[in-house]
Amino acid sequence: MKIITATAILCVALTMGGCKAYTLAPAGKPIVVANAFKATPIIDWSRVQTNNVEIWTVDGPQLEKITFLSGIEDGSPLSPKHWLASQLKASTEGEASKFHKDMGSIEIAELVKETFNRSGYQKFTINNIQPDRFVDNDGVRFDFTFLTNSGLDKEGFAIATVIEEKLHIAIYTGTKEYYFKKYKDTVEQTLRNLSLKNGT
Amino acid sequence: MFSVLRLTAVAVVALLVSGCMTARNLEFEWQNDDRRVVLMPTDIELSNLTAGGMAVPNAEWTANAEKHFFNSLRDRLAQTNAEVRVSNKGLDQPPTQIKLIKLHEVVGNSLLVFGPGSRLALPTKTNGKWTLGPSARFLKDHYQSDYALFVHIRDSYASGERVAAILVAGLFGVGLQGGVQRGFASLVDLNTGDVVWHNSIVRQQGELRTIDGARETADKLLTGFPG
Repeated sequence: MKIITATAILCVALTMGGCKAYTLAPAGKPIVVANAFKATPIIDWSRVQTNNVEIWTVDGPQLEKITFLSGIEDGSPLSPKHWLASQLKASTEGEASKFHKDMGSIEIAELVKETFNRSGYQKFTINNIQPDRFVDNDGVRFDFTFLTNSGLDKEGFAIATVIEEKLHIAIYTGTKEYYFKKYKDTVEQTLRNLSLKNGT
Repeated sequence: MFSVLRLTAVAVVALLVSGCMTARNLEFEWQNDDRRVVLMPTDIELSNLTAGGMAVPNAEWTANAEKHFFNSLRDRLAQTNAEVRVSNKGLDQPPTQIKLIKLHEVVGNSLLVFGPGSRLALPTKTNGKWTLGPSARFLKDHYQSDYALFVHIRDSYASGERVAAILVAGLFGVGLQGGVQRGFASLVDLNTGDVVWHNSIVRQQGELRTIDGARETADKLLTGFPG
């Protein structure tokens, strides 16, 4: 199993379309994100996209990243293989939790938690679930912490909304040591100014 | 799920070994006489590959390799102009040190995969600057040192059953992965936390279960270390 552990951590780069290289999202230039959102980066980001999933990072996705997931339909999972590096004890038992159009704030947070747990991350703890605005719509925001398989502390926050029965969500994660805090304010500002490509 | 992961892992190893996905190493020369280097405990694990390709960590191999490899690193550093110091190990390690060693694993992996020269190089990392952040300064004060050398290494060895499986698969034109040695070393400036020198190895050779093999790997990993 160790060969998986040793290399799965590297596979985070490869989970987006297999060895797909990141491209530059330059500061100040408006772009479409995950086929659904409009954003203007405040700083330069490296980005990679597969369908409705897009990842932004500066230093590397293991250190910090924003994951944008757009248009998750009723009855669909969050498809972690596209954005979460699988860890040693990734669960293959049972069916993955799925988004349902009538989910409330706590259930959406639990969906994210279950998705991380299923990918093998440990001690995922949700904090501060609260109402918030996302892409000009009412939504939910929550903070969380978790451990990687090697015991590295990570933290993050997610902000989500449901529009026309589809889930849109942005998740920022980073190492508790240095990298999460390094870009947190920039990410907060970027996500506050995010809007839907086609309006609400 | 398992087989997909295994195939992906094998593909990644193949890409790493072929070098198409690994970044250039960082070069460095001493800037002044501040050359006190504290050697961090080696983050090391040796595993045995089963017939099915599962890598099972071997505690005895790991414990022996940790001792031999650490001594080899210390001897190799003694040949340079660095003033070598040794950090606390095991349960005597300060919590901040443990956090920095874990962070070094992901910074090193990121540098290896996304650094300049890699096919997956990040456009936001063309400056070649990688860091463990300001917490590294704790080590400067704790060990009265200017730099810290972090080393992360993982090594796997094909069991007899795995070797047999490789041979049988080969008869049918199927390539199976044998053992792989993957490691990196980073010299960190303890004033800034920045990685100032870095070298990595990804290869299908190397033997950390013997003293001579540990010495060979240490020499290989410290190739280009400032003199």
